[in-house]
Amino acid sequence: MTLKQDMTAIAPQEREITGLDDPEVRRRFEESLRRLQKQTKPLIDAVRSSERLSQRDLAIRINTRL
Amino acid sequence: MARPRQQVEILSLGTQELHEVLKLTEPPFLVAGEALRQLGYIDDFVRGLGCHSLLIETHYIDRHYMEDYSVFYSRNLYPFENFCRRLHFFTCDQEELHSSLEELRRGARDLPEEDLRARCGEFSRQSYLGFSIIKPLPGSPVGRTVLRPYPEGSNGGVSRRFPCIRYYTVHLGGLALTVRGLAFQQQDVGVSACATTALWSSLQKFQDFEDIGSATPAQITMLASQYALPFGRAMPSEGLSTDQMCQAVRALGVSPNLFQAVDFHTARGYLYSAISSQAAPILILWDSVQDSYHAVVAVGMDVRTSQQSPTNGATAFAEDRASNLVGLYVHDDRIGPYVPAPVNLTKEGLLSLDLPDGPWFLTHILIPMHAKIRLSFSGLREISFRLLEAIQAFRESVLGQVGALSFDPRITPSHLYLKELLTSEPEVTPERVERLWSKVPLPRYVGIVRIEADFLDPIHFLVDCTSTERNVHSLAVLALRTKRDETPHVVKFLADRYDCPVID
Repeated sequence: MTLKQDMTAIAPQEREITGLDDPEVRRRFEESLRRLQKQTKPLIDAVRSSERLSQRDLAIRINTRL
Repeated sequence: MARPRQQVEILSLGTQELHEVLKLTEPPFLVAGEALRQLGYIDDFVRGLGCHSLLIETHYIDRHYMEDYSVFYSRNLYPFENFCRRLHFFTCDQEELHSSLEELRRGARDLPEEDLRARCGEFSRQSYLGFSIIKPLPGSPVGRTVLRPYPEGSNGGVSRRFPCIRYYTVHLGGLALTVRGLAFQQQDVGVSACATTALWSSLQKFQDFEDIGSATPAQITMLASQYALPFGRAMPSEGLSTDQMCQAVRALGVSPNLFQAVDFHTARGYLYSAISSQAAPILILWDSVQDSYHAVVAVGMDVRTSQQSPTNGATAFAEDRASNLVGLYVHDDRIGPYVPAPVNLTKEGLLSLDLPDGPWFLTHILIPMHAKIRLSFSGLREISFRLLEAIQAFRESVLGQVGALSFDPRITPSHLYLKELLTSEPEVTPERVERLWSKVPLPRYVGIVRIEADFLDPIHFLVDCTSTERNVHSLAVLALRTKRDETPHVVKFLADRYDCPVID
């Protein structure tokens, strides 16, 4: 038994739902995901641009006095 | 040869100001108030915490000042002393302090060690506010200072928190007192300017997690100037560049994580995550009027607790918990410790801090972190968005619901995370914590994305911080409660999608 199987084996009984195995539900899921990814793209772009550092960023002189 | 003389005095903190008690006068050539500004701030601060008495040790060797002295001040023509004074602040009055210390000293003889430690701890909690080293430098007297912060807790819909403080043990006449705070000191513009001092404070917190030596300001300035001196000379300190700050962090065996504050929402997210992760981030600030840069350390924050619609400015469904962040408490070496600094959105869409001398734009955030943390706050933030997209798509397509999801990413040592589950999450049973601990190999640092929504119980999605953004290793997913019917479905969906176990 793998670790994952072991851990999921102890999950409580859940009510049945039509899950992602259903092709129609899967199609709706993929469609929603694509739409939501467009919404989060600006946020992810901001994260990535916060990591981009130029020589200018590294050369900032920090020396404020009283 | 003159013998060093020690004198211990217990005084009442009356109407005299601290500089008068210490008989400090401002040196010539400085603007009035400049040299004693930080001492005045500390004076007001401890009085605000209810300080009634002082204990002064007149001959105290402070390792941090001694190192500054040995590399810099010993070479002056003027013979500065190599020792300091140490001031301790207490809430009890002079008489009570006398008798309490005497009783504790008697206890040292009569009580078992454990009992004595407990009594010293109790006395510290009740009465000890911390200490301040007074250096023999008239132009910059405030040395290493550790004070208890403002009381934590909620008031008027805002919760005040100080996650970036730690315990310090203070040996006083054979007794071990304790104080929770973060070390502060005044810039001396000899060995250290604001960049060195901010690094020094932040690294003090890092030592709480990792076994690195306590770096002194002199060591930090020298390590920063080891390979590059873009501004002339190391000492007298003419400031450091961001690159030099990173060099110093690296030379101490720690990894510098440097981020640009590209916009208000992203910067606020980093600040909230870093402070929640107890990382004491260094904030690089820019004053547009004087076109100068400054560095301070964030030690605590004010978080709104009243229900408002948190937004991140870009999507309706992903609500950032960081949007409740309304203010910071910073150590500003020009002003004092725990300076309140409200957070503002500027018209340019950037984040600014309101310091007592005006608004400062946040330009960069530097977070010293363990080298094993490859997946830092940026990676974790991106993972949070990916998780939210997936849960929301699942919610819409499978559960047929709409609404917002909130997220809160942070990084913490694994052992502290397990302790937190045991102590702060009443509905996570010890058996579940045991299952997590015994079934999932945990890294030194774990990334936690907390996800909440009105249809969902709070979920923790755990990520291995030694993995990278391209090869993320998901550790486990666990619901902190299982009151809502949809929770098990979402948890199972996440476990399947990201190939990790469910801890239930």
